[in-house]
Amino acid sequence: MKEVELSQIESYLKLQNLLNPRFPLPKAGGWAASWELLLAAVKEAFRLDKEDLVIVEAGSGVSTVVFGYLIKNYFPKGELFSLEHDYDFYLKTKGELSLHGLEVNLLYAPLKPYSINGKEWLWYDIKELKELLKDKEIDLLFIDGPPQDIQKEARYPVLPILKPFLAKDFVLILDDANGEGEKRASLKWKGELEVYEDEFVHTEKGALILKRIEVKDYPFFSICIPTYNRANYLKEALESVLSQTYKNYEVIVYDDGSTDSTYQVVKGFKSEKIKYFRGDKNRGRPFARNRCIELSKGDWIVLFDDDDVLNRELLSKYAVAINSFPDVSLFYPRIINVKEEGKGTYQVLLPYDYYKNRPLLLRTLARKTPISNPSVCLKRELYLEFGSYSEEFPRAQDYHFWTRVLPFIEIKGLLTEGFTYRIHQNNVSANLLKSDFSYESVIKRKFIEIVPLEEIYSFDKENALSYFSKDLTFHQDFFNASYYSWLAGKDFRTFLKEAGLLLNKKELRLVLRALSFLKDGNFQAAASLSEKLPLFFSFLVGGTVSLKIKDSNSLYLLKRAVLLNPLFDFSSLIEDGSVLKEISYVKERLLKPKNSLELRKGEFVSLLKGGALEDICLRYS
Amino acid sequence: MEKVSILITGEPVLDDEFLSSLELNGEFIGEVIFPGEVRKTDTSFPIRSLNLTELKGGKVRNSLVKEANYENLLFLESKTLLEEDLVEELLEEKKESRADFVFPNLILREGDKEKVNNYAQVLGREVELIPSLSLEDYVPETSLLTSKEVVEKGGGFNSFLEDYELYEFMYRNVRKLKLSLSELSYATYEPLTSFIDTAYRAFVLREVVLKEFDWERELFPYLSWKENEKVAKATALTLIGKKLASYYDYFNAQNYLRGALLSFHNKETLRELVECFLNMGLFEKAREFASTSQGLTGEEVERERERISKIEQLIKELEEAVKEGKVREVIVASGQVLEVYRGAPLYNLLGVVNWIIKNSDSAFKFFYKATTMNPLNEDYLYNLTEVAKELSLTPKVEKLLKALLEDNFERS
Repeated sequence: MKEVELSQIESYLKLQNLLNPRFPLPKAGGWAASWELLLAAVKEAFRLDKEDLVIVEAGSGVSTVVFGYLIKNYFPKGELFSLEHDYDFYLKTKGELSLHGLEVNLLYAPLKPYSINGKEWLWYDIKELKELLKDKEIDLLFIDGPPQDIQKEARYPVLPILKPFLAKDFVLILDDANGEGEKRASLKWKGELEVYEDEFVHTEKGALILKRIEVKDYPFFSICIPTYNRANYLKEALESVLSQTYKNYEVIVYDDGSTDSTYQVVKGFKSEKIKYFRGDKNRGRPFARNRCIELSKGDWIVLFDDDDVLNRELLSKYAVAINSFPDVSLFYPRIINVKEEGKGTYQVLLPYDYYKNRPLLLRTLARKTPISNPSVCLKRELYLEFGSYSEEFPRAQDYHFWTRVLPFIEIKGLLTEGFTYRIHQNNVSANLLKSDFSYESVIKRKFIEIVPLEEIYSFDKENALSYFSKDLTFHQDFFNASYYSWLAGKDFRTFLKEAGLLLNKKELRLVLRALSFLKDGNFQAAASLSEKLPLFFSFLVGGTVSLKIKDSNSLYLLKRAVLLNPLFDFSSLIEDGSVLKEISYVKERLLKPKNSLELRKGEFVSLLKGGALEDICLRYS
Repeated sequence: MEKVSILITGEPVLDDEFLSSLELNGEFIGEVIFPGEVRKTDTSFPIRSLNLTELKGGKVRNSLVKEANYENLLFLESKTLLEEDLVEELLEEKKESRADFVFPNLILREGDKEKVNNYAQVLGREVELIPSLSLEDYVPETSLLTSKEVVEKGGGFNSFLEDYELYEFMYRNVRKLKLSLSELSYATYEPLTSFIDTAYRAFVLREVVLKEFDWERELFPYLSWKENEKVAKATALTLIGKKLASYYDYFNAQNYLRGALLSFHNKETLRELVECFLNMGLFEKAREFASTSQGLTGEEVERERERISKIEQLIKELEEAVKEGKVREVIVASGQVLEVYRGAPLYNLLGVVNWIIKNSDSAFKFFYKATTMNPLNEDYLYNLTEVAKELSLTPKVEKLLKALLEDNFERS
């Protein structure tokens, strides 16, 4: 038996037991509401816990019998109003109610036209309902009609039409929420409510439970989008931002000197929410991010990238969370959709909510960025207190910022979809090979100056240096990992071996063979051998071959080689001045002391140069 | 210390480069055995010769194994250069993996150029190699370390085969064999001749692989035999046809392709079949199959027939030139024609030209190739047998025809 069927039977039995009907409840499922959904609705009624509970249902049937028993048995002062436009159905339900001895306000309400926002819609005639309601407020709306074939988004009118009669904390339950029309209708409702809680119930056809909630504060958000030559993606990004269900926000687009049609794309939106600023020249991502924030007016900043797609409900979720967690200064979504061009979309769940979990947060910060940057929401005042993004970091500036800020504030992950991350050729972070991890190395080594090692690794303070060594290897910085291991008086050779710097006879022979292919100009053979070489030499040979054949990946490969071995004299193999300059920057990031623990680095370098490493690991000869 | 017998097949080459590569592994070499005659050389290990007239093939390999004094055998093709410590590395890998055959990666040297051939590790996945129909792509022909026991238990090498006997042995025993790559080891291989007698590859495919293995479970397990047997069968037969064609055995390839078309008619197989006829020099037959009645569109037929006619015309013109004694012109023109057509008529023509200029060895190779491609053509066969007589290679021709035309395979 399928899981769904089992769940239906279980729900049916629970309802039978709870409602104790005179006769067994009539058949449900198929066209009628499912038992699972009805049980969920009954639970909501109990949660509301109002003596004079008022239920209105759009479309009658089995649900009318169920709610009839619910009112009769548990809410004797409450009332049920059931709207039915089909006369045959009306009679059928009436017969069922009489069989069960239930007294319910079953109303024959033919469909009639309504004008909503200048558009004509068909919905139940509520004349009789209005008269019967008098001054009562509707607590629970159960939507199972009218049928979809009447019009597109057939169920949408319920909220605008009944809005004046709804209780402040009303609950709306929508059957068949997986349907396309219902999905669109529910988004419109959410846009009208702005702050709400929603829950999707996995029934046969899917159901939505939507609750209006009362909040004290309606925060003003600034969605900050720095952009540079991404006109082709920016349009979709802005569309997603402007279709938020929550409305109290502005969008700051800072154009960092684009030379494409970015301006035209932004102006094409004609939205007052968008504030467009343009820099005179391209000054890099950290600068653009900082300008965005300077130009914003919101109390809360939502960071967003120009090539991603924001979840339409994210601001609303943030607004609710801001009201619920006043101690939190930063929220982040834990579900991210990843869209790979030409390959489809999949979901990634960030495993941790760091709320009230500082030890885990510190431990993670020492290894990698704990949260992804796009769609994070944080208090604007944090930038005033901790400073802006450092232009020292053309990449990973967000990780650097987090290491400076997160240890001192409370943060919370929301179990909601944040955005769709697009992987394409021009992604800053999608191509791992293109990532110069020497920046991450600097960030981590600076971080231990901000938070002491003993605090980060409080679970095993004595081995803090060794843990930090391992955390450095997360971004392949085996060189500094070996230094910290040496500092701890532990075996530092393991990391050198991992970096491919301690060679056995066989490896040494292969390295020499590959270098001799390079020397002879047999680049194809050198490249084939590079696959088999120890890590550093694999990148060194691969990068040099790429450089010789003018492949665009050459610099990335060589930078990775530098990361693994900043002591190697690359000028013994490479002549290109601009490449050597780039290499020298990476070397500096890795070799220059970044905290007081690194003052003995010179001693360690001398040890390696004095014989711990083979000559071939220091220069090509 | 464990030592190996190095068994070398092919032309004996004892140059300094080769000898010094052996010396780099000297402490692990017990002896080196060549099938052909070799000069006396001063080395730290004995070099012996079996003084055989044949230098390659199953028969030669069996003799080498029989003569070896050590349990470990390292098969080398002439000329293979061993890196320092290679033999030790192979022995270590054999010990660690307990494999029956261990091999390194290869650096292929052709003239001044060297090309690296990295092999994949196949240990534990040996039977997965069967559907490839080409073991030679996964295991090198040279620098294979094995043992006498493995060869003997596997029933020795097929003495009918003049080539490909190593792979025939592996196919025959693959279900129980362990093959392992020594990941970081390299040998340099410099083939002394570019001529490969592919007829034996085709023969092994037809007579061993296709007969030894279950088609549905072992050879083509990824085809939908249960859902659509006719399509699966047509696909399998087409794959076999294509593989045979890649070995120039167009005669047998066209039989499989015809079978495929009978099982499930499709354009892909039809194209391969037309290509086979074209390469066999059967232009009329190629035109007959490139037709609308076979399912091609009018436009496709026109294009295909035009291509066939152009090639036929080129060949006719070359034949005329040969008749007129324009040998030099034919040699020059053939080089250009080879870029668009590598069929039997062209190889036959090149044989004739070489025969005219008294280059009998080359003539034999060209006629041999032409006959491999189309053993039913009387002209090619006549030419081949005539040159074979002159070079005393008639038995080689008889074996070729046996390999291509005889269905009953008996290991002798």
